[in-house]
Order: sequence, then C-alpha cells, then structure tokens
Amino acid sequence: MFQKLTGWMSADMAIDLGTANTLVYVKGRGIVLNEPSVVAIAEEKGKKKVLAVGDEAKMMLGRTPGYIQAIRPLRDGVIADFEVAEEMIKHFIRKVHNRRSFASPLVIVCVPSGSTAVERRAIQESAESAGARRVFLIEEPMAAAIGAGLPVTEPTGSMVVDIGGGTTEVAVLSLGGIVYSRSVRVGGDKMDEAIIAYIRRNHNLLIGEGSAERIKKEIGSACPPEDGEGRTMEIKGRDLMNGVPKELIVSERQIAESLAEPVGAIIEAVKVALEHTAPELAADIVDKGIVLTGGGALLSNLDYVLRHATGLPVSIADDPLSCVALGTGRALEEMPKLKNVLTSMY
Amino acid sequence: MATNPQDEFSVTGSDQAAPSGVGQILRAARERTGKDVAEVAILLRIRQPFLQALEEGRHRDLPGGTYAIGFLRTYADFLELDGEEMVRRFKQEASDDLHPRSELVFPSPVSEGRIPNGALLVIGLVLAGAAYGGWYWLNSHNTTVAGTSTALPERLMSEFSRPASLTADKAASAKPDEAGQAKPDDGQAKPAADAAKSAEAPAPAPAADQAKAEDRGPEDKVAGNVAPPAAAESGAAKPIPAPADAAKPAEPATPEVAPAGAAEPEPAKPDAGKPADAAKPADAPKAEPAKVTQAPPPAAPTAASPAPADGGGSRVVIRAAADDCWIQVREMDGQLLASKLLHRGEAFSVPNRPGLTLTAGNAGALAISVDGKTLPPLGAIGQVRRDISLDPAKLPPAP
Repeated sequence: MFQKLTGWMSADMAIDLGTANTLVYVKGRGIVLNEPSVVAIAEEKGKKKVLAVGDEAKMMLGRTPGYIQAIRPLRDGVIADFEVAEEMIKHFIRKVHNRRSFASPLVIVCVPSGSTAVERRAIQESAESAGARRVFLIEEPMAAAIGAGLPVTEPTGSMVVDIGGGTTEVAVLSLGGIVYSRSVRVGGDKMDEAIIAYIRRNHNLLIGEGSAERIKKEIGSACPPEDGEGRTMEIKGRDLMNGVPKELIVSERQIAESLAEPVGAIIEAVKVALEHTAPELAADIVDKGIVLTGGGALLSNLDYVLRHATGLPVSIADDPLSCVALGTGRALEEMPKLKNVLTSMY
Repeated sequence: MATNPQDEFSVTGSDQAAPSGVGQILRAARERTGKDVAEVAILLRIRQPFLQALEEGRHRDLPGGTYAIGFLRTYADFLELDGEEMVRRFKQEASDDLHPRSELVFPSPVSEGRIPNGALLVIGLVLAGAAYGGWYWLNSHNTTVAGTSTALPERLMSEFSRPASLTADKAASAKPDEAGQAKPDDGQAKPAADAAKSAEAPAPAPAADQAKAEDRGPEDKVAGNVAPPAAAESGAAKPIPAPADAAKPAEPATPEVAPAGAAEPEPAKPDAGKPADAAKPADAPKAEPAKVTQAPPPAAPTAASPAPADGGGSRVVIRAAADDCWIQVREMDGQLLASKLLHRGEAFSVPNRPGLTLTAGNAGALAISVDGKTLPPLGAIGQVRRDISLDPAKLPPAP
C-alpha cells in the first residue's frame, strides 16, 4: 500500500548502465536520457568535484588539462571506479527525476550475465547510494531479448547476441529464463582499441579513442569488401616517428583487417554458445536464427559474417542501441508479471 | 529504391489487391537478379518457406514479429532494396497479424487445486469460533455460577435494589456484598437499610423477614460470644463457627438451607426481637450508629449461605482476613470448582468433598478454619501457594 503510494509519487526508472552509453527509461515516459557514460572531474584544492557528465564530459575525453579528469567509470560492463559511477548515476537520476516529488524512485539496473556477485553488488550499492528507494537487477541478455520483442516466455528457444561497449552477451532463452549464457569481454571498446593498435602498428600514427570510435562507426566492417579498398576516411593523429600531428587516409579493408580479432572473438563466443545448446533449442534456433542487439550490431556486415560462420539466419533487431533499455523499461512497466527476471543482491 | 514496383506485373490475384505490396516488390527484385527462392534461402540461411511467405504476404506463416522483420530486412538488403523503408511498409501491412510487442506470460506453477485461500481462511475462523464456543460452553456448565461469579460493586447494587420489581432473592444476594465489605459507618449502612426495605416490599417479603429473623439468631449469639465490632467486620465468616460454639451444629445449618421452613429455632427466639427492632429503625433513615453496626451482620449469614448450601455445612472455610486474595479451588480431577477474588472479610465455604486443592494468590491474607478452628496462615502476605489440599485431615493442625 505504502509502496504503491510512493511509487505513484516517484518516477520509477530503468537504467541501462552501459560501458559506452547510459540510457534511462522512466516509467510511463519511455527513454528520456541517452548519454555517454563519461564523467569529468575537476580537482580543486585537493577536493574532487563533478564538472560534467554525459555528452559534455565526452567532449573533454582525451583533451583535459591537468586538473580535470574525464573518466569512464565503467569498463567491460562493470563498475571500475565506484565513486565516479555513483556520481554519474546520481546525476542521471537527478536529471530525469521530478524534483518536486520527494519519494525516491525504484530503479532497475541491468548487469552483464557474466558479472560476478561482487560486481553486481557494486552496481546495486552505487544505485542505492545515488538515491534509489529500491534497486533490482536484470540480466542484460534477458533485457535485450525482451527489448527486441523476442518471445522469451514461450517454450521455444531464442538466441540473442548483445554486443555492447564492454561485453558481448550471447544467450539462449526459453520459458522466461536464460538457458545458457556466455559473456565475453569484447565489445565496442575492444574494437576501438584494435583500430588504434592497427593504425599505430601499420602507420606509426597514434589516434585517440574518440577518433577510433568515429572510424569504426563510419567505415568499420566485420569483413573486407569483396574487391577494392571499400570506403575511405581521413584520420588525424600524432606521428610516432617525428612526433608531429599528421593526417592519413584509411580504407574499409584496413579497418576490417584490424577488427578481425574482436569480431573473431564474438563469432567464437556464439559458436561456443551454440555448442552448449540443447538439441531441441538448437532446432528452434535453426528455424528462427540469431537476433543481434546492442551498438555492435550496427557494425556493417557483422550479420553476414555471423551468418556464414554459424550457418544460421541472423537478423538485427529494430533500434539495437536501445533494446536493453527498452527491455529493462518493460520489466519496470510490467513489474508484477516480469518479477521473476528481476533479482536483488540482498 | 532501385525499382518502381508499380511497373511490375502482378503475379497472383491476392497481389492485385495490394499492388505495391512488400512481397510483390521483393519478388520483382529477386526475379530481376535471376535467382530463385531456393538459392536465396541458401545464401541468406533463411528457410525457404519463410521467404515464400514473405513474398506472398502470408504473415501468419512467419515466425514472431521480430524475426519476420529481421528476415525482411536481411532479404531487402540482399536484394539491394531500402531495408528500412521495406520494414516500415511491412509493419503497416502486417499490423493486424504481427505483434512486435509479444505478450510475455511467464510460466507459473500450477495451483494444486485445493481449497482457495479465502475459503480456507473462513473455515479456519469458523473452526476457531466453534472451538472457543465449545470450550466456553463446557466451562460454563461445569462450575456453579455462585462459585465463579464475582460480586457486583455496591454502587451498582444500590442502583439495582431500588426498583420495586426486584425479588427478595436479589435483594438478599445484594446484602452479602454490603455485608462482606461492611464497616460500621453510616454511608454503607444506609444502602443496606434501603436494600432491606426493598426486600420487604414485594410478595416474598415475609419469608425474607423470617429468614432474617432466624439468621439473626446465631449472629446475635456470636455477638454475645465475640466482641460486637469484630462480629460486624467478619460477619460473613462467623455464622458457622457460631453454631459450633452453641454446641448445636445441625440446627443452624437447617435454617440456612431452608430458611422459610424452620421458622423459629429455640436459641434464636429470645434475641430475635432485638435485631428486628434494630432493622426496623434502620428502615427509618435516622439510624443510630450503634444499631447500624448491627444492621449489616444480620445480612451476613445469608451471604455465606449460598455457598455452603450445596455442601450441606462445610467443615473448611477460607476467609480473606488480612487483605483481598484471589483463590482457585479445583476438584480432585483438576476440574475448576471456583476461581474468584475474595475481598477482605469475604469467606468461601469449601464443600465437603475429598481431594479439593486450593491455589491462593496471597496466602498470608487467608485464614482457613476447620470446624471453626482457625489454622495458622499458609504463608506470608503476597506469597503465592499452589495445590494446597483442603482435606481437613491434611491441613496443618490448629495451634
């Protein structure tokens, strides 16, 4: 009764606390916030203060003077910097929560299926100290599958591959539960790193994370084009040989080559998951195939590569970037019905 | 868009209804590439029936919404059509058949088909009520009302005794209370006098009068033997010792049991006149203090009489001498005989039955007398004593 009252007064929210982006879904309003998970912290007289969060802080990433730090508090899908993560969640909650209502919100946060109990506890505690009344956790692949609209509660196998910023989650779901899940710490970040390493190795040019991400989004591909160099792009960075800034043109073929390793890791994870799938579920998956969600699904030709590697139909979900947030939001909206996919560390 | 679907010829009758249908566009684009469905199915790894269903617009034959849209997007991209545009059109066409937001119904354990919770609750309540009722009924039928009921406060009694419709019986039972707590002062004596008055008013009045006259007999004897104030205070307990003093144990008992029958016992006669006189002035509001002190005692014997009535003259009498005391008397088999609070001065006559046990809440306040001989106190003031045998033989001897 009291819970209902406070729930009515507060804006309950679902948070997709991602390595790259944090999305906040508010009950009854949908996704209201989508910002990079970056926090800029200024140090004044030994005291740390939050300078900016989200888009603004991302602009500072890699361009900060000595007294400012632009931090990404999440690495590999889990909290790497507890205090900064707490500040970030607090900022986002404050941003979307109606200041006039005095009841603190109920929050559902999604966690990678491969995260340890310690990591989950860290996420739950930081959400709680950020001002949540009650915190529930939901496993990312389940949220992604619900968000993609897969029939997860039916007695038929569904396979979802959620390629996020820090992790790739491969899961087989049936009857409302995760039958098998595998989480590999390969995602958008690893792809960026691979691009940086490739360009440094082959062109002696050092580029920042932001530039690498831009390259991946524009000309990134999971497999080289059939003929020629494909699309090309100008990149800028610092020449390692003589230390001066330099401009260079890279092609799709080069980037595809650089991305071969992280893409290979994703394919391997999917193959291992398929190997561990029960035959009946495997039969269902042969019919309907794999659904890709997460930002990684937007990497061109990834579906093609996966299709050829697995021999299964591979489709990309509608709006893959917000699948997890939508699924978590749906769990929030239909909480009494979907309560058995929610967990709590206490 | 690579092609203009309107220029393509229609293949089946159903397609004519939707000339720019998604299926039609897909088929036209595929035919332009020169591949048949089987070839495309192998390339895209999408099963042939699904591709055919897409081309023929049989939305019901496709797997759930997400998959159908995924297949369509893959197929359209393969045919170098605008995937997003095709998906948008497809959603419009198939809005009736496809539910992108699939209904999520989690499997829940089957209920075991027993009685529903609400009914269970009601049945439980009824059972509990029945159990309590049964217990209450059993308890209320096994003990005498006189033994268990506690006396009404005198304030209420004086209220009750005013209406003339009250029988002498009630008036008589009203008197014990006053007598029990009687102290020789005016305030309490007057209600007693009132009660006496009302007792005389109804029909049974003569009988009550007679009873009084008889009762006064022994009482006056006591007054003769013991100091009068003491008699007034301990009026309730004394009448039994009194006959013993008079060496006529049987006689006082009979007047108590049948007050109306034995009208004039010998010893009573000479003195009977005086208390009667005393009572009559008491009827009149201005009672002399000395006489008022005597007025309550006459009522006292009637107070003691109901209890011994079933025992036929009990040998053991428990009296709360020093203070109020709660007592509980149980039968040999543990059944409750009496449980009451004895106010200071009140007495309880124990029936002459073997095996009775007493539990006293304030053992020091009790004075137990056997055949009129007062025994030493059972314990200190405030001490709780349990399971004291009330057999006269088992009680400690009188000093």
